[in-house]
Amino acid sequence: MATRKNIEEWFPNIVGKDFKITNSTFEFNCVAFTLDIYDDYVWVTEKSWPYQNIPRILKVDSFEKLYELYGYEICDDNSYEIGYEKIAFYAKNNIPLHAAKQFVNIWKSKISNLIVDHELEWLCGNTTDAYGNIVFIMKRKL
Amino acid sequence: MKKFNEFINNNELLIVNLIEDAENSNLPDLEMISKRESYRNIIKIGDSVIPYLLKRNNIIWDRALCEITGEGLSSLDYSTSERLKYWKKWSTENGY
Repeated sequence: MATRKNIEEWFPNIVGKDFKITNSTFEFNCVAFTLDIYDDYVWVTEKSWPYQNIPRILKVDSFEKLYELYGYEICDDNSYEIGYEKIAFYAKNNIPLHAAKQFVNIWKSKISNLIVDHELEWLCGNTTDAYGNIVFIMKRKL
Repeated sequence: MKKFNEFINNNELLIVNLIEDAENSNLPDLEMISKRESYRNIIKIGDSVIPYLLKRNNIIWDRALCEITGEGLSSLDYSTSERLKYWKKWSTENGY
């Protein structure tokens, strides 16, 4: 089971920040969480991937198309907008690594068996386990 | 006999600790997780780790169980819950 200490080891930018963790399960991954799916993994290697519409290729573009299928569109602003929900996607060296979802004024991420409340940049970084950079933000109407 | 039991218990504790360590990953993809060194080390243990992995009832161990047993379902065709159900059935059928 991952702990607060693990989160601080994985993400140096979060050390010393006031972040909240909540216990969850291993039954879904970060992308599933952003799509309100709580019993499956959503990734190019999984049955859940809409391969009829998007090839099973592990690149950032594939995930942009995935979110488009779910009604999201690219936006350049990560601030909270009434009537919209937003997701942020992280990648390192063009390898997709993580997705986070905005809940009013806080971003939440499913990481290991935890839900972590955080600011977007706290998960960024080029250390082994950090998620690189935010490569796109998308939003859809609620 | 007491020393033998201690040895077995310590061994079990060691395996469980190794398994818990390998589960600690922030990666989003089960395939990526299965390539980590700590995960590969669990697979190297071989058949004797199977009951411990089954007991975890954690989808993270699907690929390890597939590799060790040579059985299992493809992640491209079966959901995570379908694969977990498969291992539960497999466990009963194979006397675990």
